[in-house]
This record gives sequence, C-alpha cells and structure tokens, in this order.
Amino acid sequence: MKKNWWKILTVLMLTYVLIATFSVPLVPGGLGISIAELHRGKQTVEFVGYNTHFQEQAPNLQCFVAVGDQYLGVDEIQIKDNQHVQFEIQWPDTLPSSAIAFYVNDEVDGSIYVSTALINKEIAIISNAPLKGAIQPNVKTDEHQVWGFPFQPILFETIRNLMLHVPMWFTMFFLMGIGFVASIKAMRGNPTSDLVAVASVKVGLLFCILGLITGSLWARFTWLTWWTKDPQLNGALVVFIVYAAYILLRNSIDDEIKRARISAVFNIFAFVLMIVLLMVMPRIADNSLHPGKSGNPAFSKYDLDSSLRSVFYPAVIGWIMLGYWIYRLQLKFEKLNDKVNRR
Amino acid sequence: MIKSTVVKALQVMLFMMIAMPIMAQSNGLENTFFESGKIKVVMGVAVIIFVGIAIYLFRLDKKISKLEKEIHDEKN
Repeated sequence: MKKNWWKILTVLMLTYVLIATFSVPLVPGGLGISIAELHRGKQTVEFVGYNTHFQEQAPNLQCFVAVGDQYLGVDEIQIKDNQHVQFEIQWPDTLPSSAIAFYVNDEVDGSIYVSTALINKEIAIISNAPLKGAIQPNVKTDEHQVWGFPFQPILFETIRNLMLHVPMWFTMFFLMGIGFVASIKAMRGNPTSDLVAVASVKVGLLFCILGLITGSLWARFTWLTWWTKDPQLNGALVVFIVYAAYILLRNSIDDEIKRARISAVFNIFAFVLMIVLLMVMPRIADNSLHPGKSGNPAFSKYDLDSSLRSVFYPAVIGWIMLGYWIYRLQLKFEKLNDKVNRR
Repeated sequence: MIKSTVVKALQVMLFMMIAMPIMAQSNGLENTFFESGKIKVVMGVAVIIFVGIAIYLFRLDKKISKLEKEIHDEKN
C-alpha cells in the first residue's frame, strides 16, 4: 500500500479531472444568428445564445449591433426562450465598416455577441464615415455572473478537449524524455537501459497515436478538416514515423550489443528531432492554427483562465502519471521477454 | 510480437483515415456532432483515448501473462 501511493494518487487525480472536465458548465455565449446575408432596409434577425438567461432576464435584456466601433439600436425585441431572442434592424444606406457583431446584454450573461462574416452585396461600405442613427449602449455590466469554462466561438464545448487531447502530448514528451535519458545511459554500456528506452518509446507511441487521432477528430469539427498543413500536425506525424522506425530498427538487429548501441544512437537523434519539430518549428512558422503558436508563448493568459487551469494542470500531471504507470508495465514485459530470449 | 503491434497501430490509423471521412459525408453525422455546442466531439475524443489505452493494456497484460506462464512452466 505504501509503495503504491502514486498509483492511488493517479486514479484520484484522473477521476477529479474527468468529473470536472465533463461537469463544469460553459459560461454564456453567442452560438449563432439566423442570417447569412445583409439586405437593404429592415432585416429580422434571430440570435441564438448558449447557456444564456434571456427569459429570466427579460426586463434587463438589451440588443444592439456593433458596426466597427459604433453601435446601432434594434427594434421589436421578442424573447422566445432563454436561448432565443429575435429583433429587427433598420440598416442605414451606408456603413462605416464591414465588421459587424450582434450583441445581447443582460445582468447575468453580461455582453455576449455573435460575429460572423456576412455576405454583403447591397449596402455600401464607406470607411470611417459616421454611422447614421448610431447609439451609445448603456449596459450595467459586460461581465457574466456565472462560473464556468470560457465560451470560445467555434470551439464551444470542445474547449474541454484541452484536458484530453493536450495532455496526450505532454505525456508523450515525458515518456520520450525517459527514453532519451535511457539511451544516453545505454550508449555508456548499461544493459537494462536499452529495455527502459524501448518500453518508454512504445508507450510514448501509444500516446502519440491517441494525440494524432483525437486531434484529427477535434480539427474536423472546428477547422472543418481532418488534416491541414499546420506545422504542428505534420511535425507530429513525422515524429510518429521516426519513432515507429526506431521500433522496427531495433527489432531488425539480432546481435544484442549492436542492437543496444545502434538503437540508442537513433533514439537520441529522434528525441532531438522531436524537440525541433514540435517545440521549435511551430513557434517559427507563421501558419500554425494551434493557439499560442506563431511566436507567442504557449500559455498566454488569454488562452487559459483560472477555471481551465484548475483542471488542466492536474490533467497534465494525472495523464503523465498514468503514462508512467503503463510504461512500468511495458518495462516488466520487456524484462521478461529479454529473460526468455536469453535462454 | 512487437512488429505486430506496430502493424496493428498502422491498420487502425489507416482505417480511421479511410472510414471517418466516409462516415462524415452523410449529413447525419455532421449534424450529430455540431448540435448542442459540439459536446459529442469531446465524448468521441474521450472514447478514443479510453478504448485506445484499454486495448493497449489488455494486449500487454495478455503478453505478460503468457511470458510468466512460459517461465513458470520451464521451472517445473
């Protein structure tokens, strides 16, 4: 029992992480609007909220439209339920900007908005001209009064994948790190280090595959494609292939001493390649879709708020500990296998 | 034995690459995954991780018990 305290801790941490990942609500946000095109004159728009309280907050509800940095009022606000509100907009003949966002504000939800690119063939855009009929909205608070994970456009509920997909890569890094250290030791002639290296790389590959598949699924429903040219994605695939090659290379050498030496050299290079491809390249490249990349630090304060941090950090530690646990089992297998083969 | 693990993993990846776009072409799946704030994507991700780890542990456990049995049998 005393020896296995870290296994109990792993189970407890992952239990907390999974319960929190699936039970913490999302804060209110704007899911979408009913129009895709701008039309001259009057236009009726239905605003769809998510986890919002339109009905309950009916007396305090305000709707307005932001055009650039100016605001337009709306008429005939009809609240259908907590998630749906409909209003009419009278567009002026010209607009100062094509950046249009639809806002709903109440005291519980704060200011929530939907900002989509609308097709505009009818209303002329004259940059920086004053907006005809502009108003100054008088809102009590922009901040929502509900606790939960942040609401991000496009991501919506999939922000929870931060606790599932992202720690896969942390765990892979950790395991490949064990393999890297073991391979250095193997180069110096430590006989068990070769087994440590191969066990950690195999479990690291498991987490690499899980990261790739879950990332692909997440990308399909946020970036609308299974795979893109993102340097992080292609880098991860190359890392997978290189480490798979390590396993194949190691299996193809019969002589034990040679096998340990050659595969150790390969593994050291593979680790360096992984650092370059997954840590350095995405920060240099300017076409990455991953948040916090393209020169920014990966954990900017805008990407993670305290509610996400309180689950994300335990998630990273918990998944790494689970990876270490599986690695110990794999190492047990490698040692038994070695023992049987030696006879 | 180790080679077969890599081959199996590649087979699964190949299956995912081929099968999932076909599944997604039917509008039904698209709607299922987009509705209610895309929560089903998170569930899909969780299921992939748990099934992946479970299969890996199950196979590893089977291989370890086989080797343990071999060693045990040789001793007797």
